[in-house]
Amino acid sequence: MNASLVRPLVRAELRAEFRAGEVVMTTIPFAASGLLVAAIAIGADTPLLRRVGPGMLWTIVLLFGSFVTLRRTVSGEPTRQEVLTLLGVDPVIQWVARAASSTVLLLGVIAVLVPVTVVIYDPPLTGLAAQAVAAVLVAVGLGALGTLAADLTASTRSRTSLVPLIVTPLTLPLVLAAVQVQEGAVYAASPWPWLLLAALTDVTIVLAGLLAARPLQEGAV
Amino acid sequence: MTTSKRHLVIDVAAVSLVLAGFAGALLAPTDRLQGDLQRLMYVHVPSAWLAYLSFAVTLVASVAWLRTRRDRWDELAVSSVEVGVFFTALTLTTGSLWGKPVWGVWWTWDPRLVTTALLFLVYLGYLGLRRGIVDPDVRARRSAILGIIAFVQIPIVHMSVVWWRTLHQPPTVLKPGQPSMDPGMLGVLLLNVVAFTVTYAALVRRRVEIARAEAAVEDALLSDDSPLAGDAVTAPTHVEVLDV
Repeated sequence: MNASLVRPLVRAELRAEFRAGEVVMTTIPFAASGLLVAAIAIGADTPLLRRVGPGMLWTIVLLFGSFVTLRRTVSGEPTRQEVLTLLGVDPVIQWVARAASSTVLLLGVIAVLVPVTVVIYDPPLTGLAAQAVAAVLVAVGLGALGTLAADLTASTRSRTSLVPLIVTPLTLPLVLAAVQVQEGAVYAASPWPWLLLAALTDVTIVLAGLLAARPLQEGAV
Repeated sequence: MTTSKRHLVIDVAAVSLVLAGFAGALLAPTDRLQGDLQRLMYVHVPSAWLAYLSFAVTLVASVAWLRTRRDRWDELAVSSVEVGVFFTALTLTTGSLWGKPVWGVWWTWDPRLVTTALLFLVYLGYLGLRRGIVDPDVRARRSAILGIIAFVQIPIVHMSVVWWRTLHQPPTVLKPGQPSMDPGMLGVLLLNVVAFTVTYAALVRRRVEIARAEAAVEDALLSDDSPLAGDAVTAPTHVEVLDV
């Protein structure tokens, strides 16, 4: 297993995505409009908007994050995966590269949606360092689980609804941790128990992905 | 299995359910605070137990399939999930019916409720995944992997009432030490657990038979050498084409 292959594979995945522009041109604007529509539905109750803002942000990240892992440059090109397998690239390395590129893109999505949330919902901006760590943990977990779910549902009917159905319930600890870190910052509570929960969830998901990579690709080519 | 034996298993399950139901309704003592409402426990708790058991059986069958690649393990895994999803839905429904008069709401932010609902959704995803894959081998492999991953939730669901103390009461039977329950209630509860487990076994057995029949139909369709619609049209020969 040649781990040095991960970096060029991630770079290739990201280059393909930047050329296609699916996440930037479609997913991010759609997610931002979701945040806006939710705020309109809640109404002009500023204290309420301030309170629900962080929860809305992470709900939108979770729901739209699945689409990042299902982007066309990954799921629409099974031949790329087949070529890599025929070239002898270990399925585990391929999975790590796909999960890492999804994580990078999810971090980009979060980086754009945070200012949008601040503008629309005006949440209290405290404990930013802990929230940044929580954001990274959410991106890692969501990227890894989304990639695993995308592999599980590869070439299936109704894939676009199956992936969120599998991903959404299993990533609840991540959303819970991210929201509680923000809420804890308001009341000066320690973020560590929640960050630990998110980190444990990430470790479990990544381990599951690493263990499942080979059996999932068995017979795929 | 002969038809009479098949009916016998279902009959035994039905009779045990009826007897356990009567025991819950008539023999068990009435709760001092909740009155007859508490009798919902004799359906709610066995359903939750059966949900745990079903998904544990799926875990074992999934691991066994990945090791042996024998179809019977895949048939057992999917059968157990289907029955487990039914019992999880029954747990959620009876819990909600019980929650309204006791807590004042059908649904609330309670870790046990939420984690059970998520458990239900993930196993619905398992069934959805199976429906989306045509190739039996790919279907068995992917659902075995999901069957293993999804089981991670079971300890979380069970321990949620210990880790986060909210509305739902902590375990009274499956916990270290003596069960904290009236012996009369505990006896009837255990009787119901046995009756529900017999029902689970009967349902899974029947579902496995259906899965085998479905697999046989799939095999017959894949290896069917009966003529296709297009076979009725014969391609023109080289000479016929030249004549035109």
